[in-house]
Amino acid sequence: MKNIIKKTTAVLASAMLIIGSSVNVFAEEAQETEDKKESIILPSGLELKEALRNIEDEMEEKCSESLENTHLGGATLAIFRGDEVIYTGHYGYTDYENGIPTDDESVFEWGSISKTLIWVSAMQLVEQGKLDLERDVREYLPEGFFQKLSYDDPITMLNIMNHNAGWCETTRSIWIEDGDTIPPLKDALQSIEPAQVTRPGERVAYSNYGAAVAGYVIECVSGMDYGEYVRKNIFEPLGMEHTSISPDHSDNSRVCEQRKKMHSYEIGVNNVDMGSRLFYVGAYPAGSATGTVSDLVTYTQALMNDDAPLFKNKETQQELFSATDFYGDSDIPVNCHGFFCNEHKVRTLFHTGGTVFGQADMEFDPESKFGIVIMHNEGLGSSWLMNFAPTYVFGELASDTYGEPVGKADYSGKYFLISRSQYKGMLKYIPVLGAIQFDEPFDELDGNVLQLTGISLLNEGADSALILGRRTLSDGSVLLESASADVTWDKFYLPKLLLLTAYLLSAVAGTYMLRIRLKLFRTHRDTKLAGSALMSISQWARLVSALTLLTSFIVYYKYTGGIPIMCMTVFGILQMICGGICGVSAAGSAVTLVVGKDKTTLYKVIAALNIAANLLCAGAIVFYELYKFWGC
Amino acid sequence: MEKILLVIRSDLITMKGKGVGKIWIYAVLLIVIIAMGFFVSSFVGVYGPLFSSFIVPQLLFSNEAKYKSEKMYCIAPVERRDIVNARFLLTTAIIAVLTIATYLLMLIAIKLDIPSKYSDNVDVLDGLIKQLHLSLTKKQLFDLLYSVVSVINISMGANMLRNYFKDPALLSGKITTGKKLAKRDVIGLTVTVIMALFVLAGVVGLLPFGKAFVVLFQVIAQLAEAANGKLLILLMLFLTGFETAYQYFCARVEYADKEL
Repeated sequence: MKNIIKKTTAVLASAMLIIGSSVNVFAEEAQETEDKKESIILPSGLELKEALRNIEDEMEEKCSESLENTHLGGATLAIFRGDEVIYTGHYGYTDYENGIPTDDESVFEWGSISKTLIWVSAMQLVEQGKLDLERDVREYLPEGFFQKLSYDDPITMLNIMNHNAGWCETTRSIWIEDGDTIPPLKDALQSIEPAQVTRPGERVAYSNYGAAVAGYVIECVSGMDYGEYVRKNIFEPLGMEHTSISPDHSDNSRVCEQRKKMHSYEIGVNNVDMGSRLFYVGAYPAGSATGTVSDLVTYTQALMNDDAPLFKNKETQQELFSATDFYGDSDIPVNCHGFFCNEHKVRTLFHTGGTVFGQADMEFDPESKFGIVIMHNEGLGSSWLMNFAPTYVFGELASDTYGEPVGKADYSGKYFLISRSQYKGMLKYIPVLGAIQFDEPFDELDGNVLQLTGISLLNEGADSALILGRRTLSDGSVLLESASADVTWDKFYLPKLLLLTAYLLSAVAGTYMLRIRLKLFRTHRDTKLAGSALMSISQWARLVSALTLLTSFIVYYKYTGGIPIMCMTVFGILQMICGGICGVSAAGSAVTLVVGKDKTTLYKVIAALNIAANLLCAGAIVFYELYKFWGC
Repeated sequence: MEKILLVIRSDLITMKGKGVGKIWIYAVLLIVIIAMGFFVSSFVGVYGPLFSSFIVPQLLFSNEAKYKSEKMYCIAPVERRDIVNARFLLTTAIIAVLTIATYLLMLIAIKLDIPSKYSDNVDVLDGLIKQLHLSLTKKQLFDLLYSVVSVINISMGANMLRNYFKDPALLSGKITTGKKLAKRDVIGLTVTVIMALFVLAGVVGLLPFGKAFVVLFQVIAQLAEAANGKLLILLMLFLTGFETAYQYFCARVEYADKEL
């Protein structure tokens, strides 16, 4: 008996010793692994722990437990190397009111990162011999699909991937608020078709419409619904079970459920909880993917994987990441089949995304296999994480990387308009309101590359650079292109702005003339001192026209870049009527001036001013296409 | 022109006397605001011209209103239009000079940027630029805000002067007392009560003002960025001119009809 007890005790003691030491060993191993991870050197040259310290310090300052005090809605950040995720950070909340923090289960909207699914799908079809990137996409689309092309030049998939097919932004809102009214992809595209304002291949202007058309090409070529194609050929092979592609998330019940729980926030002057509202994208291939950060990481890792799990041949993936557009005349790539290139200390491929309810960034270096994914539940805006976290991982471009400057390019005093804007249709005034000026000269490098140098974020005393490409267009204007935005010098900017200002002033002047007329009426004086009845009607018309324009701006702002069809129709018809009245009034005053007898000097002055004001108003309505209620 | 200058001289003489003390109060207030503009934030300087529209008409005409000496012009060899022309010229010129002088001083304040030398606090203007994601510089935002306040200021000054021509008692801003309120007092009180209730409803949360104001503010901020703020500034300047001209026109008409 004693022996049994002794043996049992010995066994138990040994077991405890083994387990205890195993736990210690595991704990030590885990600590060692953690230490090894933290001392991983990132492409920026920083150790991971140093980079994380900077990021986490900033996040601690920005995050608060109360919505009123926070400078961050909710965000998730993941850093990975190859197949290994070396850091995941969750910040803020997906629901401040109920105190639900962001975590691995949170789903975020990919926004335009969804476009990379189109480019990957396109390359898969190229691999199968079903799609040629250099053929006119009209050969793949139904007859008469495009109704507003201005050039006969072919539009290829490469043009669409490079965003230089020539389309401007659409005037119609791409967002739909009622999930029951989401049209099929073809109908959605045809309802928002914008005008083609430049020849294909000439000017880069980021286009949601173009990308969505490419998604429809995938549908036509594959014979499958685009969403179904992506699920079968990208999500399922990679095991991305927590990502949806349908605009209403109906293809993934888990994502649908989680998305309804996620609140999104507007962080600014007053922080606003936008609740778990949804806006649906009719042209959904351009930006409807929604999912967890781990799924986006999986997708990005697959893109970096030399085994090219998304393709049959590794060469296809290599071709996907080969350059299709360059800065200026140089060999520095800016676009690789739809993936943008970023110049850090290393060259990365990236795509960002932004919707009304979220922002996201996916960036990776195929050489070093490092990657970063950031997802927010804040709507369109400026995110510290998206602006600076990739810099801590990938470093900064040194100013001497592409050689010494060969000169200076000074564009001070010139106004540049953003290429990605409405250049046709009733929102044609929008780019005029957003002109950019460059007060500092650029350094000129070889190959029509310009460089701006600034202070380094990472190394005190060092500098960091940003490069742009320069192209001279067929009309003599200058295009400056970067990975994030392209701007074109507008020689006629000031006259356009003056016309817009004069139009608004003519409305203000008309309002005051109406007040004077009212005053004369109330004091029983001759109201003809303020002009004729027709002049008075035209003054009302100018006021209504200006108020309609201001209302259209508010609606455009509210609907994040477009106007609903009903509003557009009302605005357009009102502007047509106002323009007509102004024209008639100007003509009437001109006739009176020429033919009228015994008119006093005061009347002649008022008539002349009336002609000028009405012509300015009518001219602005015509020039800015304020009457175009049928779109671009 | 001679008669206009005559009226101006006469008004300046009338201004001197017991009202002189008010000049010093206003001068001290303006100096304090300008000093705060230098040492706290140039944003404070935006308030500089705001008081002149209240104070300048009071300073110029309170003695005449007090001693009811406006009827003196019935026997003076000047026409009513000359009186209106002279007073509008004098009042708007003084307000404009004060506005421009304050603006120039604040430009110097922005250039010197004294607060940044002794404090780490973010300047109000820089904070607004960051919060509203504006691409304006500090000076451009200041120009914009200052022009908006100047519109309000000069317009209010012209309106006060017009009211003075209608009824000098209005200059003191008093409402009528007694059993029966005047119609304008009833309207004024009603509007004030409605506005107060409106604001209270917004503060309490009954009406969703917060979101509306944020959207409106951001829309205005977007418009403000056109040509680095020059579009809105130009509009503001023209608005000032139109409003002043309108108030002048109304004063001319009303004073011509007035029984003295």
